[in-house]
This record gives sequence, structure tokens and C-alpha cells, in this order.
Amino acid sequence: MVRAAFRRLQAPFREFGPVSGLLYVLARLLPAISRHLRLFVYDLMVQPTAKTPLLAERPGGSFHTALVKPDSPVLEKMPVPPTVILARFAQGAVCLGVWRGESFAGYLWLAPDRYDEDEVRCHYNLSPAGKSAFDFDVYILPEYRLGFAFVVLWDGANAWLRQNGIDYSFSRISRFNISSRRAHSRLGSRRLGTALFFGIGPLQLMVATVPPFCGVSWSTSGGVTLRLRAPRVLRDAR
Amino acid sequence: MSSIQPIREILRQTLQIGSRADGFTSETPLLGSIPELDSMAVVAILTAIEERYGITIDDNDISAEIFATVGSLADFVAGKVGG
Repeated sequence: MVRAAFRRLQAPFREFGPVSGLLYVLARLLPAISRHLRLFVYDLMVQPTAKTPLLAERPGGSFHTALVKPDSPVLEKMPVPPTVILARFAQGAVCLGVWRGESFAGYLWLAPDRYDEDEVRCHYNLSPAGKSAFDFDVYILPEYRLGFAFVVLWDGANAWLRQNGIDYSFSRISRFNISSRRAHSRLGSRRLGTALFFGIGPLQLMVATVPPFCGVSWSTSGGVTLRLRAPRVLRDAR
Repeated sequence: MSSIQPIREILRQTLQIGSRADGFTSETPLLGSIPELDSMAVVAILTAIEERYGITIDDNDISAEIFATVGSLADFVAGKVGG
């Protein structure tokens, strides 16, 4: 039994390495100690908008994408509170859905130029302005995860980004979400930096490797603003 | 039982697992056992199979059972090519 417990404790360190392993243990432990404690570690990513589809035109392919309107009934299928969905539309984000035939299969959100985080108190300002968007909450229903839905959804997203003159899509991924990190890597995403948010009740402390590097906020204040910029190597490649 | 050699090569290339693929047998479990095999990798494998065999895999054909083992994937491909 002791050996099994030791193996469980070792697992995150083997999976994530010593530093991230320790952060993972803390992120799990703190809320268990007190509901007022929380820790989030995000990798801040950017990927260029793909110029061509990831998936070749498939004869008989049954998936298609379309924008989800604020009054669409499929919004009720999303595992997100209605107030959060309303706030996303209010900040100018768009929701792109993927369907197989008539069946809703998944969605993602895109916020042009800036995004107000709904997990921690943080705003992302993106540049170059007018050419940047933030992608978030990418979700495929479990029954469609093994197949073309994810790629078709991203092809739809890239098409929307191209149509709107957006060259870069930014995102934040939990340091501990390996599958999401791997998927973004396959999409050509690269890491811009890391941000760590530590919350004690209404107090939130942030340290990051991107400007402004650190920040403190109370629940009544507006939170911290992280400035993300597409790196020169990506801009030169456009 | 279908030949697994071509499937082994497709897995080696798409998952970029190099010599790890040498030890694959028909019973080697895939989904849930190989970290590199995520949803994007599944799509890469399916499109590689389509290109190699000149077939089209219908969205409705795809299930977790196909990706249970190397052998089940080889059997699925043999069925599509033979059918």
C-alpha cells in the first residue's frame, strides 16, 4: 500500500519533470487544504494561421463547421455555465461549431485582439493588433474524439481567421494538460512564455515570463493584463 | 490474421516512434497505451492509410475498437481494401 502511494506521488514528477511535477502536486493539494486556495500554471502559446487546410478535401466527408449564434440551442450542450457563454459573446468572441450531419460534435471560441480569461482574473492583449486572436475552450464531444471532428474544426477556425485577416492565434494551455499541449504542437503552436496564478481568497498573485511579469489583484479590481506578441520569427515568415 | 508490417511502418512514421515500432505485434495495444496516439495522430494514421491503399475511410467506420491493437487496425484495413 505504501509502495502504491509512493508510485502515485512519483507519477507527476515522471510525467512533467521536477518543477512542473511539484507545481502539479501543489495545484491538486491547495484546493484540498482550503477552497480559498488555488494555483493555475499556464503555458502561453501562439500559432500562425494555417494557409492551407490540414485535411485534404474528403469525398463523402460528413463533418462541417459553422458559426454558433448567441441564440443557438447547441449552446446548451456546452459544459459551460450560461453566464460565462453570455460574457464571451459580450466581449466579442465568436464560437465555431462542428457537426457530423445534424449532430453537434464540438466547438471552439475565438476572441479577436483581446480575451478576458474566465478561470483567473486576467486579460490578454494581443499584438499585432488586427491580426491576432485568442483561441480557447476547444471541446469535442467524447463520442467524436476519435475521428476527423477536431481537424475539421481547426480547418474551419483557420478559414475564419484567414477571412478576417488574422495571422496569429494565441492560447493558454494548462501546464498539466498534456493532450492539449500535444495537439497544439501538432498544429504548429509554439510557447511564448508561462504564467502562474496563485489565489488566496480574494487575493490573486501572478508571475509570468511575459510583460508585465508580475501582478497583484483583489476580486474587486480588474485583474492583470498580460501582453502577448507574435514573435518576429513568425511575423517574418508571413 | 492480417499482415501487420505495413501498419507497423505507418505507425512508425506518423507517430515518429522509430525503433519502438519494431517490437509491435498483433497484440500490441494502441489506444490508451501509446502516449503519442492522440486524436490528431489518429487522423494522421487514417489519412496515411487512405493515401497508401487508395481508399476512403468513412467517418462512420471509425471507432475505438479499430485502434485497440495493431492487429485490429490491420484487420480493419484488410477489410476496407478487400471490401
